[in-house]
Amino acid sequence: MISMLLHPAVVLILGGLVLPCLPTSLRKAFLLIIPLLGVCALLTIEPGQYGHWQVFSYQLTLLRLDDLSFIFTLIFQCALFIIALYAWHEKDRLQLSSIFIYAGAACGAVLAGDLITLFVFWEITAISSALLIWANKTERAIRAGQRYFIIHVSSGLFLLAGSIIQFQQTGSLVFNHLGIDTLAGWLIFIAFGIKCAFPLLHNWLQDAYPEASVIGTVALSVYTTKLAVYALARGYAGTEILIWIGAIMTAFPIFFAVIENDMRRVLSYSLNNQLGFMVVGIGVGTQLALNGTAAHSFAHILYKALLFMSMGAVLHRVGTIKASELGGLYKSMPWTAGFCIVGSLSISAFPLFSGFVSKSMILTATAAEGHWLIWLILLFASAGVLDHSGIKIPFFTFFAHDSGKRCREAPLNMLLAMGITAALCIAIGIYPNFLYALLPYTVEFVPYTNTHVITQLQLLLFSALAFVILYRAKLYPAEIPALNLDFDWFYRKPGAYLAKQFAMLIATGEINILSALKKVLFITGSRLHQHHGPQGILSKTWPTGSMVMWIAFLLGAYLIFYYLD
Amino acid sequence: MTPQKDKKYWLDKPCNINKIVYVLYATCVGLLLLDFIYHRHAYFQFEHWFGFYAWFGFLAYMSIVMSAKLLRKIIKRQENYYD
Repeated sequence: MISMLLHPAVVLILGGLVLPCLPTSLRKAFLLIIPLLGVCALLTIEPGQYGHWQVFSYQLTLLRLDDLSFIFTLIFQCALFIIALYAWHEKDRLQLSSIFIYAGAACGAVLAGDLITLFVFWEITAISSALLIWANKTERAIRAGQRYFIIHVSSGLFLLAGSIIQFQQTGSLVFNHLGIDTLAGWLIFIAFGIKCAFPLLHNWLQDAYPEASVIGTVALSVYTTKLAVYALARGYAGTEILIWIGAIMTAFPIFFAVIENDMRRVLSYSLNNQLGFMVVGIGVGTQLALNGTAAHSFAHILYKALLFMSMGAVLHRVGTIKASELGGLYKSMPWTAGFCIVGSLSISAFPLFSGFVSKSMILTATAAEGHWLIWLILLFASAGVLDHSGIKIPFFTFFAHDSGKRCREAPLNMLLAMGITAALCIAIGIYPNFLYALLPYTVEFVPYTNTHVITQLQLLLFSALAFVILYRAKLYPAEIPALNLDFDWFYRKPGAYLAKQFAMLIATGEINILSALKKVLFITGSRLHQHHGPQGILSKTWPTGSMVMWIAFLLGAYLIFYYLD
Repeated sequence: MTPQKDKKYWLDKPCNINKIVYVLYATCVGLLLLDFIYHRHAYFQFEHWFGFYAWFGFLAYMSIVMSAKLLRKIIKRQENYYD
């Protein structure tokens, strides 16, 4: 039994709570020391299960360390160090504190051995990450943060409801393979799906991430969705529907990314597309595929954070991140431009960069199982990645037509954070065995073969050729200040309208709510007596579980109405 | 340390941009010719078609960008649409 103070999540969360109380100089030192303490705590723990805790009739396991949870916790902590360095100049204590609590909760959720511990940390990530969106303090950020918060709290409610049903049916809360054969499995699947930005459940991501603060967006890009990827890999490996969900996720965001003007929103669509590759890997479910998902999450966290950091640095210095107002910035910010290009080459999966050694595992695993159509969709999406993240982000920000904007290079701490991340992207690309040694299963995969390298270069460079031809023929869509509708239109326009009309009808007495309520109460009363009365079927078991389930249901209903209003 | 606005950079000359583009053209031709000389380990029959990855990448890119242009016609709104 180890002391719970050594729990990596506890180290980071306590650190986050102490940070705002420290004087500035100490705080700056602790910003970098706490993530290192977290890594030390993680490395001192032997694989196994710790912190067994009996709460009423529930058996909780606060810490489970195995190969899968280790790699995710490790990269979460490395990312925290990078973010802390990037945010070293930040004076807003609430933001710094939120980042540490958010990262700690994400580690806690990954290390959770049971569904209730997972739920608690799941909700802490929702609350602490929403603070990072509100930290931007604009009217837009506040409203986007509200939408984000409500969606993530409801994800937690699905998780809670699913966990309770799981406990009632199996008597166990252990978080292992769940599958979608039961109601509990489906509810938890939806909870993970919301956080993983499945198609049609994805809008919170593109809505909220671009509205967060400069450092907040970097932190957001790391934790929430990759926690969901971990949870899916743990609970739903080999679930076939995930192959299709993932393939759709890789394909549809790329069209939106091409015509989006806000560069941080382009990266959010791109993030959604990258998650698709990981979800396909989980769906395929072979050892190679799951290794691919873990490796791609690891590599992705680094290059996506790098891209968000470079765009954040531009926003920090220029004051805007709209493509239509940028261009030619390599003259002012050459280092930032260079680091951004490393991120672009990594996400596009050029040989010698990190994305190449991880994405090729997922593509090979998909092909090995004979999913030819899915494989073609992934290849198609890879050409799309080259467009929005490989070309559009660096080209329209740092090159293209000169916007005439001149500014200073990014602050030194930001450059250092970007530099370390860029070095890691290249190191993983050149020495993939460093990453492969951390994967959950033994790796027998060789990324650098003639076939892999030549076919990948053909795919990427001929896509680049298509860009050159389109751009020179002036057929490439121009960067224009505009907003593009997405699926969230349905609940932000007609949904909100209907909710308002409904409220009006009640307010003006058109719907007599009291007499309607009386009728409902009478019917409910007789039904309740039927099921919960002396002969009722639901009175046979202890009622706490069903109480909590109904509270979750009520909260969910409340959230939906609040959201639509 | 703000750079001077009138300072000329290597990329400011159109002939240098042409140089980069010509290098890209040449690399593409070279990569395509490699298909004649190396043996490709493939899972699917269609991967063996000549230049499969090259024309697939080219056409995928073209179709993504051109269909996104069409999509823009349907979903483009004013920036303050939701405000």
